[in-house]
Amino acid sequence: MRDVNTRRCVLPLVVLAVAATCLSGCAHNTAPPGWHPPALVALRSTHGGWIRVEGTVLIEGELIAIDQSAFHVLTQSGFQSVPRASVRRITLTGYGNRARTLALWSALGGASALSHGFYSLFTGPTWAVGGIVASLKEKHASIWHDADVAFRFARFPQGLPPGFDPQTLGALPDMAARGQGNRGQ
Amino acid sequence: MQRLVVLAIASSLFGAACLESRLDRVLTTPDQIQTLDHRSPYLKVHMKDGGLYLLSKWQVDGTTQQVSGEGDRLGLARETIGSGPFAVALADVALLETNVLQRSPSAAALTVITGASAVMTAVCIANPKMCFGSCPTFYIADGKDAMIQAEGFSSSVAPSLEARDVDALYRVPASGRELIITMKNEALETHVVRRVRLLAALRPDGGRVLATLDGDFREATDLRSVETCHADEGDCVAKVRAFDSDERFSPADGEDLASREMIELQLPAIDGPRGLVIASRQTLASTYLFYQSLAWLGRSASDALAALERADATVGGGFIRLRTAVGGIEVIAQTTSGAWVPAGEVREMGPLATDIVAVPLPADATGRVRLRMARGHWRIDYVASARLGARVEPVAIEPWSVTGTDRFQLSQSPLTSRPLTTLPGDVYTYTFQLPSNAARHELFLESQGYYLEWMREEWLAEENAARALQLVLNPEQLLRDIAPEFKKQEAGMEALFWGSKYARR
Repeated sequence: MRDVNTRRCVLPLVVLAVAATCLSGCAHNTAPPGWHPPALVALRSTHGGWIRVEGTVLIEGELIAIDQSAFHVLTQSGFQSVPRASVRRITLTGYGNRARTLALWSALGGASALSHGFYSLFTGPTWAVGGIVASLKEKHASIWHDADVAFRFARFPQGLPPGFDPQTLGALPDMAARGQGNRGQ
Repeated sequence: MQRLVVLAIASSLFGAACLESRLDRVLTTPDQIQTLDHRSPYLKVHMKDGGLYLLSKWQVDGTTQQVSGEGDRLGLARETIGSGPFAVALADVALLETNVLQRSPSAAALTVITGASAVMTAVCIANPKMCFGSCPTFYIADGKDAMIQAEGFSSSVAPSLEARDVDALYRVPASGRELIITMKNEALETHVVRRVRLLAALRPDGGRVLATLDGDFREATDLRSVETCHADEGDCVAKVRAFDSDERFSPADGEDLASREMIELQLPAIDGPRGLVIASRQTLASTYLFYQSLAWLGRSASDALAALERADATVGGGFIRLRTAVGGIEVIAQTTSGAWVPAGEVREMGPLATDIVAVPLPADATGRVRLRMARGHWRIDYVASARLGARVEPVAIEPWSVTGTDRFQLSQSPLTSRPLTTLPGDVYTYTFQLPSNAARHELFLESQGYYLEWMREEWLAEENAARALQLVLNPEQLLRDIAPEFKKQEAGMEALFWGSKYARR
């Protein structure tokens, strides 16, 4: 005969699970603060999105353009072109998502399930599962790894202009990289 | 509770804020201006030279091949070069960019959950007593889903009322050498479980073994469903001819919750000792009465339970009178002399799992039987007659393992010597080893223990000393007084409760 004493209260754990899982999911974003504006702000954005290019080199910065031969990125050290053949993976953050908000929403909703008494055994997990799935989906909704989609969030989606002089762009301000810069939005 | 309502409202506000969080960005070449999405509040005009116009109130003129609007003109570094109204020739344009906000499917999904949750919150505020289950529930998987098969000691609401409960696992196919039963505490209660074990009784050829009201187990053969069934609503035979979860039940009386109704049955002719086989469970009326009683008792509920423990005659008497007033399903049989004689009273407690028992009928019973019960208190799934044979002594099978949800196992003394105390959300899995010829055995689940209902904050708001006193001194009148209030909630109560997964059958 075996016997176990399990002491647990489902609902607080459910709420914690929603909050912890979703918030940890939200934290996985390669763009610095200030480079994932909400969709409403990104409507008017005149700059490119934040791109992380991984390959023989690792660079991050504003996506200037993508063409047949290279990814063109404005980094803190200046304009850089990375040959596509050397790139293993890109991560483009087009705009900010509301995953964190959805997580908080789910946590509050999960907490409100405490008022459901017996039914909280159903509504609590519903909030937990729904919150986790919704937050994760939302988190990935504005992040792309496909160059054929990412180019839409380049400063020059049409490609580098004829006679383009990279020096006109300068370098990405350090303060902007830390999310304190004005992106002209 | 108020805080939780605030949470629900805050949750909804988040929903409103999050709905349009997706951006649908589309790039169009100048030769496809007819496809531009005019819902976009801004048009970004990407020039061949790398410049950019950010225009609002924009329009495209296919005739003049121009795009116009008000906004800013920006250079390569996205510095503002000029502002105002602009008209740009499409010939100089590389791409036109529209951005339309879209609803987030994720936020929409949470909105649906929020809506359902808010309804649940509102319902539970309006009537907190609808939202709680009772007693340990036992689930057994049928190969796909785990179905509730039994609920333990439903009427044992205090230590002094600790009782042994036997539930037939009538619909559980006993194949293989192992049976896994999951016990859950799905309510805001403390369950003290002294014993959980199986009873296995050898079936007769072609028959079953059924428990009787006095605790015996009898061989039952020639099981045949009733020939006729008539109740106030008319013919009810379709509802009771099979043990299929299609139940016959009636609404409660709006003037007296103890008001009785009668069902007339005609059993098929069977030679030999005959019994009425009945599968039933309670409606939510009894649960409502119990929780409402606790609400009226309020802060004195623990005093009342303590008085019950001390065998206080007044409190105990009131409790018994209330139970008597509600009553069970009385089985009344007609004898060959034409007299109607009581054969027994089915009192399977609890609204969750249906139990099946046999009520032996008098030797001179004609086959006409009446079921008398309080309106709206009982759900009857199956009624049949059977030839009752010899008494059967079942073999007790103790669980060989009990596992908690944390998967840890302790090899300690048997549960029979040490009660298991469970709290809300606790889940235990009992594993039993069945006899080699398990398929020939009828299985019963024997549980013993008691449970303590947790007082809810919401209930205290309904504390009512006068009602509590009436509960103890005149429960019959109480059942009349509260009938109208119960009727207002009855339909929604059933729909809400059985609409949940808990009602999966």
